[in-house]
Amino acid sequence: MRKLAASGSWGPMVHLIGTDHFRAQRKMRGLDPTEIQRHYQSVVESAIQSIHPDLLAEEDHPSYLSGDGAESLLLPIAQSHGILHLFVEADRATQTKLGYKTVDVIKELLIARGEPSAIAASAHKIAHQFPIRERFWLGEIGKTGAGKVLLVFGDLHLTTLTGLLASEGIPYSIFAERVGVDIANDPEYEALKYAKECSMFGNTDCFCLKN
Amino acid sequence: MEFKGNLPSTKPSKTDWEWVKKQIAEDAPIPYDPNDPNDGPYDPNDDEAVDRFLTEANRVRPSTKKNEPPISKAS
Repeated sequence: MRKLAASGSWGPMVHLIGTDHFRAQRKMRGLDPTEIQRHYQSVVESAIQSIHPDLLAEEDHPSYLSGDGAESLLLPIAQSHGILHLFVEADRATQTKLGYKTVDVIKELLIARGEPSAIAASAHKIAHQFPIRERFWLGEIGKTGAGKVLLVFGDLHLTTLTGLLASEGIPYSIFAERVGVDIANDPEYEALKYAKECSMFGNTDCFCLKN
Repeated sequence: MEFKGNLPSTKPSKTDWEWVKKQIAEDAPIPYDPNDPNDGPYDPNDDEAVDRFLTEANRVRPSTKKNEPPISKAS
């Protein structure tokens, strides 16, 4: 379950759990957790026992949760253990300020280039746009000064996030991945495959990154 | 025990049923004033206008996303 990749500069150690936001990471307000959500809770509990983190961080934002009528499953776990909890995702306005482009914006750019493809638009989002948000997450984590961080995030970020951590010299381990993920019913995994096959990762000069 | 059923109202109806029956028998046009903003967006006597309105009404009222089941999302 645990792969250790490391480099050795100063900074936090980040332990990663990749999830499906809707099926695992959050639950609908007023409903009991599903079996998948209970599995996610047990993965987090075993990570806490194993890692003893001083920060439980997750890719989400209170405005997104309330907009979807959902609630964090990580927050009550953090409270029950007396561990600091942090939502690291940027709100929409901040994402725009950071220059992040949504898949709809990328689709329009592709249409203008005569390349209308939904899967290519998602691939650009995953390979080129994700690091913009991920840098923001690491900035938010850095502000806390935490040394051992458990970070829960959308599983599709795994390739770019680990690449970013490595390039920043931040040691990390993958505690769990694809928690609650149903690849067959998530077309974005097709886009992930497309991005890998087209060697899109690591390109910092793509048209989708220009203003 | 107090009765909570659904009995016919004892109040006299204000509808002129004789007039209604006569209108139906004569297939009389439904009163409609296009200049009256309270009189509806189409002429109910004009079949084409009725069809056009219903088509447009369906088009501008798509089902809301709230009713859709949650999707997988790992991004």
